Amino acid sequence: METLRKRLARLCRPGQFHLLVELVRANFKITDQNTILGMTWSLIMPVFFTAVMFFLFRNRFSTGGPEYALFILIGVSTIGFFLNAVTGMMNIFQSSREMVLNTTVPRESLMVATMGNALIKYAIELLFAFCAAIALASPWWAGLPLLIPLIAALCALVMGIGMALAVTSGFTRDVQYLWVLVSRVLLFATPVFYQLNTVSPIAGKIVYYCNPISPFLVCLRRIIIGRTPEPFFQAYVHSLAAGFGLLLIVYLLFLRYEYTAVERS
Amino acid sequence: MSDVIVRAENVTKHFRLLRSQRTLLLAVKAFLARKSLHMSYPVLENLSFEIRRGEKIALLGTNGAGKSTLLRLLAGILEASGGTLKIPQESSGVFAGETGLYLELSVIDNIPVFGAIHGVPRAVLKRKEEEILAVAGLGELRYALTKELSSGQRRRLALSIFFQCDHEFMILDEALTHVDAAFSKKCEEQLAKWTAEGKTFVVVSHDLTFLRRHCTRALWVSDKRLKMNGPVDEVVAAYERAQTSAV
Repeated sequence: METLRKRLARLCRPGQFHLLVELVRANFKITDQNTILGMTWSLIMPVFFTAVMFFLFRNRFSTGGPEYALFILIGVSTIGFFLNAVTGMMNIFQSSREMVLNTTVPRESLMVATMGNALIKYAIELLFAFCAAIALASPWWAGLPLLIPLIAALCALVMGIGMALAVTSGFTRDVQYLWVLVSRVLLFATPVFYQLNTVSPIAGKIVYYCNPISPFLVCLRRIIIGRTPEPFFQAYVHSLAAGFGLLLIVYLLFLRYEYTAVERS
Repeated sequence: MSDVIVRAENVTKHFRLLRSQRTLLLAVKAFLARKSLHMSYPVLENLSFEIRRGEKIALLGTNGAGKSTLLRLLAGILEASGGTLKIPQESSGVFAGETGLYLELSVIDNIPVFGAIHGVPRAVLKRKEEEILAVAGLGELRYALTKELSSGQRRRLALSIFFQCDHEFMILDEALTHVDAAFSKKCEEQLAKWTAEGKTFVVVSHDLTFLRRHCTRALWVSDKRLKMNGPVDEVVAAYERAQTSAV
């Protein structure tokens, strides 16, 4: 097993960043190839879902006026990014099998490239939400710099879960079915269209503490929309600890089992 | 002994393969009997050899002999199951056909990404884009999707980009398959250039004349073991005799 330090040194070699940029670029070009609307789909999907949810749930869960649409949009975009990126990373040993077995491209780079593609679209969605927030709500301008570590922690969380699923699905494909199940549950067990204080206290606690996306949503909404009933700094620390902590633990396990997982995939 | 860049001592590689058909019933039975449906299947056993800086190694063996597995071990793509294997710490170039070409991208778009995958610096790729297209003979088809090319054209594109690599240690797996005689000549010129620059490479090919011309030493893998290790002419001659008698 390669040690963490050796592997990090390998990932920091000259040319690795260039490789990452090219992989993201290639994935990005392929994703929207042969479409008429191209990148616009990145916005159409979440806006459409937001419109449907706004129409269905505004009387029951609305936080008041157009802010609720922003509330949903941030939730839809975040959960969409999380699910797309994790699913892509989970399948990386199968979908990029030739590349994994016949090139020296670090597997982490393939995973980051998969996430990078989803991240670009997510960034566009968040930017759109932020522009809308300037018109419809009152963003927390002073909190804006906190967005960078928060998104970095979200990416770390995605990487951690993606790596864990990629390795375990190398041992058994049941993991992929389980993930489909979990991802469907997550669509409802994430406060996308409801606030935590609108469900029962016990359900709210379960959704907040058992679903790693929840504290991120609390923070994102506080920064972009400008207010949230949940305490911000507690959620912020929770998010950073969950994201970076999980990635560190999973990465050590990844280094231990990646070769075996690749061979069995 | 600092010029030894690869040192293998009793290297063994096992894969975990199914020993019987896998059904839910059989899996449950095996679980209850505390047995496994899998077996540890040896692909390479007790291989010991060295590769020195600047050597050109031919790797010989019949289909399924374990050549590709050995190449993957040398590139650090797979880990040995047993023994010790020292491989170059700096990155090595591995050419394995069209792996790394994105079929949905155009020829011109594939140059930077395939180059990056094989460790060619960005500046080199930018500067040599036209040269790559000219060597591949794909100047007119630069905006065609790679999936629209023939397998020979794809191989030419991949090799033309790979020629820009500047690694000290290179691995070429069946590089000349699917290419015509004219392009094969260009490949030989490139190998001669790398030889003159003192690069180390390991080549797998079934073209024995090509191996004789470009390699100095050969490793013959047979029945999971290293059957012969020596000057290329001797090993290739022995391999040819064995192949002829097998036919």
